[in-house]
Amino acid sequence: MTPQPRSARVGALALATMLLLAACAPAAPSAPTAAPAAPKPTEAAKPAAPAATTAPAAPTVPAATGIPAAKPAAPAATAAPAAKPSVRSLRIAIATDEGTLNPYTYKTGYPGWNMLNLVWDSLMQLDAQNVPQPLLAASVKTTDAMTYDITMRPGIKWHDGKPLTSEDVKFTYEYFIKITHSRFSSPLRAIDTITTDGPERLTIKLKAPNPSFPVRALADAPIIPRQEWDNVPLERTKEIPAKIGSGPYKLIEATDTAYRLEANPDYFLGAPPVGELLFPVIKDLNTALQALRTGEVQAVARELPPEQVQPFSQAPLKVSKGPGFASTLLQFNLERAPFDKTEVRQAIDLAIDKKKLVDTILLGNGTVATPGFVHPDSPNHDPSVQARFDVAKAKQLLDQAGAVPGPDGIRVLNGKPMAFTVLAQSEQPLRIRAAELIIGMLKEVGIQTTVKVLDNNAVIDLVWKDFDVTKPRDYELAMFGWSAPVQVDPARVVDFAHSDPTIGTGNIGAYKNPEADKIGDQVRAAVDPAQRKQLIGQYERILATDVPFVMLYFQDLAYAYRADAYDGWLFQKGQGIITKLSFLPGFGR
Amino acid sequence: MTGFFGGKVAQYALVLFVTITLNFLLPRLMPGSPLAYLAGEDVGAMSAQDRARVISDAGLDRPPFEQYLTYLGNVVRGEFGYSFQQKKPIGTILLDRLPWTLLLTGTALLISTSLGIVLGAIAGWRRGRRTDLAALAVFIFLESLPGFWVGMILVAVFGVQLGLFPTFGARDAFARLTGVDYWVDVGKHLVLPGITLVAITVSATFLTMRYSMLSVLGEDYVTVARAKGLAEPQVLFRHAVRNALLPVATVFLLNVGQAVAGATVIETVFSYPGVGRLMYEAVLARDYPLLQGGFLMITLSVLAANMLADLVYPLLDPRVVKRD
Repeated sequence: MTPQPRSARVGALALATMLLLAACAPAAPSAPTAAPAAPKPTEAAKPAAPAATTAPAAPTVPAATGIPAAKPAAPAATAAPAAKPSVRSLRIAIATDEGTLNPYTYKTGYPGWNMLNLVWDSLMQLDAQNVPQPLLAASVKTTDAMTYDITMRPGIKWHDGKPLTSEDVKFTYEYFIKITHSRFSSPLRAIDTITTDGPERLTIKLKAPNPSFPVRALADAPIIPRQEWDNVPLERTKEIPAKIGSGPYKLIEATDTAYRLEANPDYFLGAPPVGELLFPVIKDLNTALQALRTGEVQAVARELPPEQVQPFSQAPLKVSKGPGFASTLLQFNLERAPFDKTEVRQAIDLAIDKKKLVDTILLGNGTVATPGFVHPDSPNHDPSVQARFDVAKAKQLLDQAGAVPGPDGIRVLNGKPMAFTVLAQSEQPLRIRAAELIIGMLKEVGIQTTVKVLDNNAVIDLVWKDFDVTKPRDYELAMFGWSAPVQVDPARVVDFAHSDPTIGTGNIGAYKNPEADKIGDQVRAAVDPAQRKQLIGQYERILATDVPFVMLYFQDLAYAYRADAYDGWLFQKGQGIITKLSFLPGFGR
Repeated sequence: MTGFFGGKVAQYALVLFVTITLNFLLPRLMPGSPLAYLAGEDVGAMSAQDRARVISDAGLDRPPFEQYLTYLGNVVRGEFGYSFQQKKPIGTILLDRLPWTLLLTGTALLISTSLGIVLGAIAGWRRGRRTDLAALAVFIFLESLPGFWVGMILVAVFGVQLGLFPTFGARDAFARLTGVDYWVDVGKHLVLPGITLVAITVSATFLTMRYSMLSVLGEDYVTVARAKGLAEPQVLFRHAVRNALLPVATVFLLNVGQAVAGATVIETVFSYPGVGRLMYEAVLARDYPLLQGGFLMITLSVLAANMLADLVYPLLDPRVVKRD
């Protein structure tokens, strides 16, 4: 054994250490991707007033379509003089990276989609009440929900100073129609033709009347610059950096641990109130909340758990609360006996005390859902459709169905004990708790259930294989839910119960009722809002009778932030505070 | 000796091949699919043709065996493709994370090993006395603590109450620090996760060392050393500790191999950009390319550490070499 000289060993160790540290060293300062453009004196001097001149006074939009004309852009005028933002910098903790913020790379609807919208603009923008308002557009007019005449605001510029015109809009929509995007390609495929008439006017003709078009497409699809995206094939969409948008913020830096956005001083609604938005990725909710306490971040994008609302309401911390549109429900597999029997589904609905779930699991911070799927706060909700809880009636229905209690108290139906498995997602602790309470409630009426917890991806595999409702499903009952945007377009209720798989893309229980399909088709095509509301009410009543799923609750949303850092947050109904609206003072409030 | 060596190489090659194959198989055996991350959040609203297009673009519609052959070819060429969720080359993602992982796990490993050896030696030497019992109690207590809990307590006390250390991340991503300031910042960020990791790993070394000391102290050569009239420190360090280090060296080398895998729970609590959390999220997303690349990296480092152990052991303890 020839011992190495000690110095050699020490040297090797030192070398290894140096290599490691070199790898952790700050990246060599590369040329900034988007150099903060010094405002050109000529442009900076210009007030943002032009927008005001474009607001058409004539209300050519029939009230019936529900699309307001652009409001006089007074807010732009008031925001314009603010040369310096009132808050220099704000740090907002997010839970996961959201790709490069190019429209094809975001991961989560909230806050990912909303972060993306700080960089990009769409023709219209949902306001705090989720009503689409013209944004890049100065006005959107239609009489038949089939032909949309759009006038753009004049003088809108991309972040690199080039003008954004109707040609960019046409290019964008045609691009998204061709190059599939999971969110807005389907809605945009309603388009038949787009014709432009000069840089500020375009006309979009649809294949059929579609009153959802403004919400689903015009207020959703971000306009992207032709110069960057022309001829980019699908497989390369994710590589295009989000350097040049038109939104209130410019993306300066996007890594998988942090994002840096900088205010666009030339934004057509005026420079946004916060000079710099920083989004650090903090994986653990608890850590993010602690960082809020220490002041390392000034807002947390994730929902505050119900039990934390109180402690985070003490100054300078503040909590913004509002209704949430993300639903929680108990899904039946109607292909699996006995859930093919309406009385059995009705009995299970009657046996579950939704109010108790809200009070116990959400500590009261939630809304009891009604069986018609539509959120009770929605203007389209039929108030006659109410949540039910009646144990005696549930037992009676089960008796009628021929389910007789066995010796152990568990009912037996057609020779089989009524014992079922409820799937729940490991990522969703509240759903697991709800499922556990439901076990007790169903036991009361003689139905035995057990909870099986799997990761979300594994649950999807059993309930909604490959996100394709025509594929076989392998479950009995599942805790499930649909995200908030679903409630924003009232016609989307049909997506979850229509028996045609190209319409009922979310009909994961294989529910089928020709009468419901007929009304559903009418809901989707109804142009007149009053008629649509009446049809949605009818649809809700059918769902309330057939119970393809048991609607449980909508959890209220609560977000914590430091009011001493920034207090201009705007709660967008059903969605939250990390939205574009929070940084567009005077717009959409 | 050449036969011994050749056999070893063949053995390693076989293990490598089997793990490369398992790295392909295991992610695909999990229920679920990467579709949601490939297509985007609103995959449910897409048409069947669009979904099929996404699947075929990722090459997931081809027969599994064909996919496997492509994968083997790519591994040989050192190509691992793009991550389904991050849309970046696997090599870039792993190389971004690796230095931070090694900084955290490496620092913690060195500290916990040194601490474990010294305290384990002392405890063994003073078996049954007050020092030993106190140390034993402390380390068994530490052993039983869950890592995330220790981390949360440290964050609450040193981050929130005292404001001494940052609570998340490996560095301040926004401060644009350079030079000494940068390294001070990195060091500050390392303190709390480092202490947490040391706290939950030190007991293994301590207990191994203590136990090993106890068996060594009963050996004849220790009695001889004492009979020769050597001073106690000489007996302790020259004769007892050096021999007692062997099992600890094994534990250490195994840990070195594992260091690349990171420490998922601690990375989660402190939002440290390590490999552990990366792999955990890759599992949830069914990100096959990232799982394949990441697990291959971990496999290689474990094998390398084992190989190192194989090579170093005869030097540490000539008795393990078979004499013909």
